[in-house]
Amino acid sequence: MCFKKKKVAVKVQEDRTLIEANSKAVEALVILAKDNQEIIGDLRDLQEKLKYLIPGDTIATDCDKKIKNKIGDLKIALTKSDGETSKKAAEILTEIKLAIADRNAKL
Amino acid sequence: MWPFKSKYDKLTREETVDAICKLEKELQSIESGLEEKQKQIDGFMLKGRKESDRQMKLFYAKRINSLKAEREQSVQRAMYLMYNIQLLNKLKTAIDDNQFFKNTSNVSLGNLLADQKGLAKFLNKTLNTRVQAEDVLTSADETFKDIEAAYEKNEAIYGKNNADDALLAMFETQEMVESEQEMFSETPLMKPDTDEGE
Repeated sequence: MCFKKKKVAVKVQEDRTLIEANSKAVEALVILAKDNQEIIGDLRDLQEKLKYLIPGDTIATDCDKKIKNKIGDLKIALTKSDGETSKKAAEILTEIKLAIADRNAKL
Repeated sequence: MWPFKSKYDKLTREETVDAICKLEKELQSIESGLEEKQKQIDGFMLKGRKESDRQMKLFYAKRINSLKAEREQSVQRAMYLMYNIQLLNKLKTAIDDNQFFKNTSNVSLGNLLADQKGLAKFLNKTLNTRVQAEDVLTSADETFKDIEAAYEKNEAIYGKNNADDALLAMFETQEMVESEQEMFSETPLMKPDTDEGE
């Protein structure tokens, strides 16, 4: 078995892919939100912030994985509430914004 | 080390999330179906009560029983789905926990704590630094005290000379005379008060 340390460039490329995936995942959330303009507005803002995140190394990747997990939880919350504004969905949205701010602070 | 990953190692959080969402949607559609069936049952019950024809009553009764059986089936499915969703949520939490403990143990500061000898050495060094700093202060304090103890008061500035002594004696005498005068002056004042009273 051969162990090979990934180069920084490869890690940055992985992070770039992750950022892109997160941004696209928000598109699916917009559809789940149906006609709820409040949530759709928040999601569009989120998508903009996610699109322009600077790819980075390990720290950035960990933050982006955390954001990805939160997006998954938001997907479940919106499915459960059938697009309606729920406390859980609002909480998760706030957590995602916090995670993005935290990521920008660390880099 | 077994080279092949188990199904659980290959499982991603996204797959779990998608599975939960799929089941939630199914549950919602069953719920709306149940509401619909209940409305139909209530409608047929009303019709059956109002109906006078026996054959029609029998028809409504059979229809209601059939809808109730379907409703029962849907309820069973909904319960199964709820239980399934519960377990998938537990699986999602387990995946998160696994990731959390992996990340936390990989944090560089966390690795430092694993080095017990290094930690003990560092803590001892910190303690010695603290003791040395405290010793500096206590030594400085003792130096202050020693210097102050060696100091002798200058009698010419702070002490009493002959002229000061004479004045002090005069002040003390004056105080004594005044206090005696006060004592004697109090006594005659009391007599006129008693005479006036009678």
